[in-house]
Amino acid sequence: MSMISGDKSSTEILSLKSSDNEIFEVKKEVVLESITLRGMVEEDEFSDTLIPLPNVEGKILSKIIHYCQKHTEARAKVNGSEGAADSKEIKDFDSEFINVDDKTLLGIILAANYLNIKDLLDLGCQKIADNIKEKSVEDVRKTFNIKNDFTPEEEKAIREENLWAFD
Amino acid sequence: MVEEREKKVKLEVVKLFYINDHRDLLVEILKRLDGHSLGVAACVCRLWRSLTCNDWLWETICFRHVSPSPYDVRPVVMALGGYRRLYMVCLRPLLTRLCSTRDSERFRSNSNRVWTRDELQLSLSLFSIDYYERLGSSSSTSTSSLMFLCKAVNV
Repeated sequence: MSMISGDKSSTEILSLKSSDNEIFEVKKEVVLESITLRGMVEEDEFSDTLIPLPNVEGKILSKIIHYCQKHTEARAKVNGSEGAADSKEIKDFDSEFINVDDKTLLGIILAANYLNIKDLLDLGCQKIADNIKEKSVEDVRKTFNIKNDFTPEEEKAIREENLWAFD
Repeated sequence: MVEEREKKVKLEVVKLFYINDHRDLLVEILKRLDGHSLGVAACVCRLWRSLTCNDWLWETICFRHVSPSPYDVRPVVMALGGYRRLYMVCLRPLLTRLCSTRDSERFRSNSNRVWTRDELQLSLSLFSIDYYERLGSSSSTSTSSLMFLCKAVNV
């Protein structure tokens, strides 16, 4: 892969450590996709050391790095313009990327929120919303492991209030 | 041995991601639902119900397809009963009518296209009529005048 810019920062490699002690070597420009990490790196706190991410497990971090790499590459292709996210190639990548099981999906949005990667958070939340659209109340509870905390009377009243949604 | 296994299970339970512990994320998800699914979401549990009662969630649903977003109408809509009511009284019936047309292709394109300013003004006008008719009558089931525009018409 050719380098677009001769700037030192594009070839600098940083190390990220997941909660389960997996270490990932990542180019600095890819790391900067995360606003949270950008703040840490720019303050020069971790210029030579490992950046620990105790909130993100290795399996999820690996996927997130892949996402950031792909988006950084796409942006470099259109020379940093805003149009990168709209290309068909990136859209296809995104829909393939986010087509994962519920548990992984929730892990991704939690990590994207912590790392402050807006596009990934949007993508993940939209996918979860799309999954909910086809589900019944019981299925939603099962997916998110939520306990029904309504009393029978409350539940009856709320169902009646929202009867139109069950057409 | 049993103690160790119990400890392991406890650790695993702690690691599981529970969406209700992350209200900000839950809100991000809810605001991307359509009106119908928000009604389903309201029945899931107490927290989800309280979040779906937030009127600004319904504002997002009402005007998701309007560009630019008409924030200047917010005081008017709030005075007339709020965005949830606007959706229930004016928008949902209109969308249901579109759904009942035989041409489902047209419906799909209709539900995703950007609304015109005129369509927005029409639904707000109907909403005003609904408000004043509610003011005037003691019963909430009276059929209203121009509100027929929200109902199916037999020709």
